Amino acid sequence: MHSAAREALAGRPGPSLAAYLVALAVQLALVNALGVLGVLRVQPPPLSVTAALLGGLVFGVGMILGKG
Amino acid sequence: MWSRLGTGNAGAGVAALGFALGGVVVDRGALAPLTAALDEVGAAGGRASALPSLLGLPAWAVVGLGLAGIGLALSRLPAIGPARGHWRWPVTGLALGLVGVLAWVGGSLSGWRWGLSITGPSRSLAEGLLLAGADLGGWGPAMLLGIPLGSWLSARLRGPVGWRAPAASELPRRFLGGLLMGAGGTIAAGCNIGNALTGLSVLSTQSLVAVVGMVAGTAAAIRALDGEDRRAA
Repeated sequence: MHSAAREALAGRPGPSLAAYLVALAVQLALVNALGVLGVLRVQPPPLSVTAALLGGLVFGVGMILGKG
Repeated sequence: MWSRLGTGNAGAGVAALGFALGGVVVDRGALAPLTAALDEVGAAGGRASALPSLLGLPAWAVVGLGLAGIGLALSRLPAIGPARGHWRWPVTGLALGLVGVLAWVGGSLSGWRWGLSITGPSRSLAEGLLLAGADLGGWGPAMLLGIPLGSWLSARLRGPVGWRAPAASELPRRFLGGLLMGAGGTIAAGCNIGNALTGLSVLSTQSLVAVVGMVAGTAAAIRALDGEDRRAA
């Protein structure tokens, strides 16, 4: 994910970004299909815009520092 | 991070330790009131938390839009050769996506009710080990411990695995980065896996906002650090 973000931000999309997009597409399609079929109970978590944005920012900085 | 720990990357281990502890600090430690306060600011009702109801579209339409967007993005990518010594990206992506789906199904069977996730389980593991009365068990931490085991196994099949340590001067930076990831991931209720993969797949608004924040934070840090690295060189 770290590599994917670096690829995207550098304007040089590469294998990590492409693999992430494929993985997201697979999950998006299958998890929601299983939800419709009633196999899974799919429920988005509660929303807190400030926490999500700030937490995301701090996480992004940490990811680059920690090479996570 | 957890996966590279399994291949003997000691720097990743230091970051993973920071990651787990950073989560504890903002969940149960000194910064817990801050996390609670941030959760209150900008908290929105049930309708806004799911992208379909926020946009006023049926879920299948949002899934379709997402898939179309991903397809368009992939079709516009320049040709990408195989990465050094790794699987080709469609294989990697398919495998990761299927693991994510399996995590949903497996987790659901044991009452986990969420898919693949790293931040929560890392924090739970640290809390379970450090704090009295905290629950250690559960599907998440067990899954988490499987990650370095699996990557070790995979690396071992290719040859001997030994510890590799970064320069000692790197370690504080790795640990600090891990702390920030754990704290940020806990405040945002998910990291790059829990939000950018699992949360987005269930059309969570929270996850979309968190991903925007992560990309912004990543961009800012790359800019600041790359400038610093150039000056140091």
